[in-house]
Amino acid sequence: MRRQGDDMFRLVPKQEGFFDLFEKQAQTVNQGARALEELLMDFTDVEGKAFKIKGIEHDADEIAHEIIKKLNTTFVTPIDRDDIHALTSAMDDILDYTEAASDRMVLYEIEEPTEAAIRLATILAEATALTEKAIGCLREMKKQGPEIREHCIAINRLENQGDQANRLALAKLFQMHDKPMDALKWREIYNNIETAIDMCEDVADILESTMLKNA
Amino acid sequence: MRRFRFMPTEENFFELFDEIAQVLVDAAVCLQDLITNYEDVEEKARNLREMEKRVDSATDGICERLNISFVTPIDREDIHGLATKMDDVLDYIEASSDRMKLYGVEKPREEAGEIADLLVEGTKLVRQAVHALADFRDIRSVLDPCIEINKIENQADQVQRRALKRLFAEEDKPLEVAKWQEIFDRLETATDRCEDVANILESIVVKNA
Repeated sequence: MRRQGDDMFRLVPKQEGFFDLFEKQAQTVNQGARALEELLMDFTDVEGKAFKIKGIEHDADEIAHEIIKKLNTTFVTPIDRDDIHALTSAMDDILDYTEAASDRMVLYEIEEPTEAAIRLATILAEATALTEKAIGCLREMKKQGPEIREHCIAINRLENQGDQANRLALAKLFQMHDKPMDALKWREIYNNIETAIDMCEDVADILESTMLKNA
Repeated sequence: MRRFRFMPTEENFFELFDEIAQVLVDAAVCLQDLITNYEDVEEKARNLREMEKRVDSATDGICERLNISFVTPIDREDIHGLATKMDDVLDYIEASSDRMKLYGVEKPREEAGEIADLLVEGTKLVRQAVHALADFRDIRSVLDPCIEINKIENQADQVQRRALKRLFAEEDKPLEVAKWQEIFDRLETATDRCEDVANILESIVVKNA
């Protein structure tokens, strides 16, 4: 296996730039998830706030694009190329689903948030905060391995909670027989938020396998 | 620029990709026909399922050859990635037709036809890009159709939003709404998967340029 980082001297400089970009992307993802939580907690100017989330998603797209560009022009990468690719696209997915959730609230002219939506958005914001922390440790993967692992475990736990919360929320939705159309709108929004949480777990899984490969 | 058929291989992966890409176009055309001439739905849906099976076995064939080929023209992961992503496109095309049949849709909503048109365009672009990869002359001949595929995905996204808006505004039967929410989701996801194919193609050519 190729080892990088341990060498006393290097023929090719280690590419620190990837970590900077990853951190920037993870930060932006967390910013988007927090914006969704804020939107649901203070349900005013929904359109303006959703527009802001769209902007954040656009920023993250740019960063992802930069990472791929760098990947394609870099000969020696600090971690496996495939892992870099997978990490970036998984983080991109988190924000795509976050944005989709806020977009549907505007599209469907939702008038007030449900408790379940707030709960799911809170779980998502916690998961993206942990994702940001875990990605922040990647630069010192060897030293901070235990910390990354801890964050990954916590993300997995949150994913389970998100799953549970979504199920309960769906069960409750389909009990409100008087407003079936609202139930269908919310189902779509809940599923988007829950999938965003799933994507945080994907990031955690990739991180764990990257660490195994570099152990 | 150098062509990147690096060495002659017994296993011609590119030919298989070309074949799969052609089935994707055929399937999109079939779906378009199913939606715009909504008759013999059972038979058309059955045709689509046949195509899906054919691509499934072609994908299996690629994975099998991948296991026994020592030399591959492009990265093994990329061959695998490209095959599975192309397979995904067809899965969603087939799922769209299947839901229409399964849910006993009587008349497709107008926007479904619009997305099917976009899918025909998108799969033709996939075919063009895959073919350009096999017959590699320059990087632009692969990248240009990929950019167009991205545009198509955005357009499909917009059509879906408009479709959902109208669906909730005009349809008063909740079950109809639920069915169409799902069908539109499948149709739009098919265009997302075309974009995934484009992303893999982009990274393959940039890496090998």
